[in-house]
Amino acid sequence: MYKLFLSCVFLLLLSGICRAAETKAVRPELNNKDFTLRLAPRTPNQITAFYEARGFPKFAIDEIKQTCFITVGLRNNSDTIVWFDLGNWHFTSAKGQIKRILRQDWKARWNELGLEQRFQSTFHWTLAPEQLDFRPHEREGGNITLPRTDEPFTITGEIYVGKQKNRLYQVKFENIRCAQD
Amino acid sequence: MRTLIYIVMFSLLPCSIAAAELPDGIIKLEKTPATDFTISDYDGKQYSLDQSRGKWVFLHFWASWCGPCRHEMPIIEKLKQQMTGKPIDIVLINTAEDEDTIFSFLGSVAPSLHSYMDRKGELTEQWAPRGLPTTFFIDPRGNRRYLALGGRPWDQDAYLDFIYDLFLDKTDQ
Repeated sequence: MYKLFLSCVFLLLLSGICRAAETKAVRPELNNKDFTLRLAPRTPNQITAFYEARGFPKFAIDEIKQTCFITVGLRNNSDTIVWFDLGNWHFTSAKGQIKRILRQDWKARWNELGLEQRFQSTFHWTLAPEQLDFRPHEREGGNITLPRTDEPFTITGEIYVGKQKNRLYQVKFENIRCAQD
Repeated sequence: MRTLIYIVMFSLLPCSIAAAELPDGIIKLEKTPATDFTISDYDGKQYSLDQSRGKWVFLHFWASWCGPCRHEMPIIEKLKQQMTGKPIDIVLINTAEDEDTIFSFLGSVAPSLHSYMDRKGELTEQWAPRGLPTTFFIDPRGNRRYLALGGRPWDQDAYLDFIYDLFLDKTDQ
């Protein structure tokens, strides 16, 4: 009987641990009738494994490793247009605004480092679109890139809905961190 | 007079239904001529868009790293089998990957499919898909007509009907 009791306690503790692990793995997400927006900060190992598997040279992998990658995915749940524009997204830590690394910054850096065009193209297609009018039920995604920081930061953005942009959602994700291995 | 109104209403009805009933994720494009291009496969065999004049073209941009592409490829393989002998060419264009990657990917997910290679990704940039995968439908006169967003279940009736309806579009013959 005592052993049975101990087993039950053990199982209860285990389920608690599992629940805690699940809670930790939860990714920032915003879900409403118009759209679902998900963010997934990627660890350096996750992101470099992806590009290494595509044959990216070491100098490019080193560059990628120093960068904070957050995969953003948006799905339009509505029957109208959802307007996504990274230009009105802001990344702010206690130290101030974090400047996003833009496509043109990457292009300049890759050209400077002499990265082959085919790798630049792959990299380009894995970045989140700068602007996109999501059509009904469309789903797209990609990476947002920031200089790597240990500080937690807040992401704010605006998403308009409707052909005439008649509904505005103010998006806010707090306490986001660059993922660590 | 009333009869005339009915005749006009009924003659307009099929057009408006056809316009309203595009399957999810299919967008009608403004009809614009598609610029011709020439591209090679991993054996050096070339394809030009002009070769497909007189037929529809299912022009599909993809990459092995994109999840929806992996899911969609076996469905495109089935579609290709169903479209044998029909007035449509199914043309796959891989974005910026090498022969080995394409060969092993297709070998594992859709062995009977064959893809052309946009080695540097330049053609993909010109066509500016909204993301990968993306499919453009080019009409028999070489105009861009429809765009399919992301991966689509081409084996479902709504999508097959959409493709079969393209063949009935007499304005493009």
